[in-house]
Amino acid sequence: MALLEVKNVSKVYSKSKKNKGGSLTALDDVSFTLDKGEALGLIGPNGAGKSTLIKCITGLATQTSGEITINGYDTKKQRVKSIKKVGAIIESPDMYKDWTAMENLLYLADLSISKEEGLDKNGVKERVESLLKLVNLYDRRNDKVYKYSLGMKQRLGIAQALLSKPEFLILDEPANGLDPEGIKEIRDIIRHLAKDLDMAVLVSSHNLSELQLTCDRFLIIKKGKILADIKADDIVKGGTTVVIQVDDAVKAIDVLKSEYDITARHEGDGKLIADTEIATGDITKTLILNGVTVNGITVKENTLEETFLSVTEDKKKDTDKEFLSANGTAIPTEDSETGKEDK
Amino acid sequence: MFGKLYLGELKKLARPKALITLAVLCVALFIVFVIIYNMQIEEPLNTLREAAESTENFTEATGDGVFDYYQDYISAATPENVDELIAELNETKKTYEERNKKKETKGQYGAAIKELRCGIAMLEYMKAHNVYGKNLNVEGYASYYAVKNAESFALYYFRTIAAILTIYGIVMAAGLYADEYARGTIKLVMLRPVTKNQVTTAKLLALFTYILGILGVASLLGYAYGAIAYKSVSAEKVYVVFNASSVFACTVGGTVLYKMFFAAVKVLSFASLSYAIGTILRKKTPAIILSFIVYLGIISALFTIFGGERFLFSTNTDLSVYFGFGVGEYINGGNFFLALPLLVIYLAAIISSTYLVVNKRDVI
Repeated sequence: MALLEVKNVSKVYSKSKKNKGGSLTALDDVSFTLDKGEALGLIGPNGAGKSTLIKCITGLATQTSGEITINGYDTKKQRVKSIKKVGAIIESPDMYKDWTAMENLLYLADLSISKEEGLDKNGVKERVESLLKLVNLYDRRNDKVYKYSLGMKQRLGIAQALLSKPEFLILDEPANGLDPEGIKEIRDIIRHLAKDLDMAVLVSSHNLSELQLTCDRFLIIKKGKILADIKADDIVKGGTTVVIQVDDAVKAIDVLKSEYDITARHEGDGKLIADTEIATGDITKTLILNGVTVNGITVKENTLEETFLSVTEDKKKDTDKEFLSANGTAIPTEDSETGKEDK
Repeated sequence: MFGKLYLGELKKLARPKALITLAVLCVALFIVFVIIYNMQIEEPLNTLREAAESTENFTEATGDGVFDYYQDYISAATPENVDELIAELNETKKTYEERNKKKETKGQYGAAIKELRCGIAMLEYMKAHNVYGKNLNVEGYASYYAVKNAESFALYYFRTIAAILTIYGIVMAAGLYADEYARGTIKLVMLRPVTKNQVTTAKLLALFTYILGILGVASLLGYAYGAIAYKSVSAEKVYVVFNASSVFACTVGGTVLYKMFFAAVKVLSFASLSYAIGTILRKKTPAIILSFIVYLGIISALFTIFGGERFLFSTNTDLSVYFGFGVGEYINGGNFFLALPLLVIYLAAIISSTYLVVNKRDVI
């Protein structure tokens, strides 16, 4: 049994002014699983449904249909049991600003640490202190939180998420407001938690390059639907992009199509982009033999960002085609799409 | 877990700045109150009685002298004339009731009728128990009100603090959930293995504890100062007309206790209302404004024009009006046995709606 199981989950927000009087489908038949030791990145544009999904998983919102279980406990019917071993930062690391970091964590520790752990007052304090050390805030533990920078609050947010020694950690935009050093620290913490402590980690972020370094699996979500569920290895393996500089772009496109069945895109000034794993030497040779002058050829590995853009673009085209065939009218623009801002 | 949740909620309420402000306010009020209380002209009730006896028609002389007029009957009653006095009061009551029903004077005689009913009840009690005397302590007229003593000082100070706390409680209660939504901290709590009902209960109990704690300190402070500065009349006997129909004997200390109790109930009632509105709307300011509209009796004032104000929440929060002669305002047709269940129903509806909304709604 997977630690997290999301089965056919949909979330529909009812009519409200915010939704311009109509109902809004924030999640549409979402299904996936997550195992211990896995770090899963959740990617999607604003309003894609990422935060709604996280809220449903943590029981902060209730799905309209479908089922979510954590460790076998239904998050809707057994919320308390299901989140016992879950730590999370949702949307922003809001803390009680008039309290010190120590006071915040001690209060939340009292609510998080279960009796079964048998920790006394000193034990709780020790755990809090060790977490403050982990997130590098121990020296500032007695400062009121309103004096903290955003990065410090973010780190404190991670500390509060780890209070219950969770088996499942959910981080919504954990690198928000952090400097490069802070981002690296968070990345190292996440990787340590997932790999060394066998924790399941779900990270939602807009920073795709950072996410690629942190996670080993990605869910691409748009308009409440999961468009792709990709492993990190597959992104690299999945293909390479070849950039070719030629004198005659039209002829080169024809040659690549007839010889290798590759569809190359012309980006202007003789620059062609082609997704292929064929060796650059072979491509160069074939083009020259067919009378095309090759001025340069380079290989670029696919990034998560490219994969994301390619998946969302493909799906958009598919949706547009479906829309056109169904309605016989103009393609809707991004602006006309209904989408709930979840950030 | 609930205990820790509750203690956490207490800590959130007891913010140092808020506590210091409140403490300064209470001490300042205490000092002002001591000065005002000591400036009062000590006027034993006998003075009023003598004045009444020397006036041919006391009611006309004092304008709205209904209050003192019936005290005059009580102090003048003897075993020989008590039946005659009861008959007189019944006759007057009948006249007032007719006037109260007339279109042009409808509802204007409610307070006078209540006083008459209290007077009749008291005289009948005196007759039945053979208790007569010029210096009889009757709640609403009792001489302990007119002279300085520990009990009256403690009660008046307590009531002043209770009035301040009603306002303070409304403001505090409105933000219990609303502030957490506004600051985003609600998810910090709701992400823990605690139920929504536990959080709602912990907040409400912490609010009640905080209010009752302050009231407790105020009562002790008032009584301690009163006992040092003045004489205590706690054990003195006093007669209380209940619900304008029956009489029971009590000690002065006892009356002070139940008055404090009802004053506290009123504070907690408005705090609960504000808590519910703040939670349902998730906004503090509208909750404060709406609660103040109810507290200041703006809605009940409208209802007074059309009648039916006795069914409103705000008119039933102060149950002490049903104990004694002239305690607080009187509601036309008001009755303790209508007011108590109504208050219970209102509070149950207010509190349960809070639970219902928190449970049904997504946290964020």
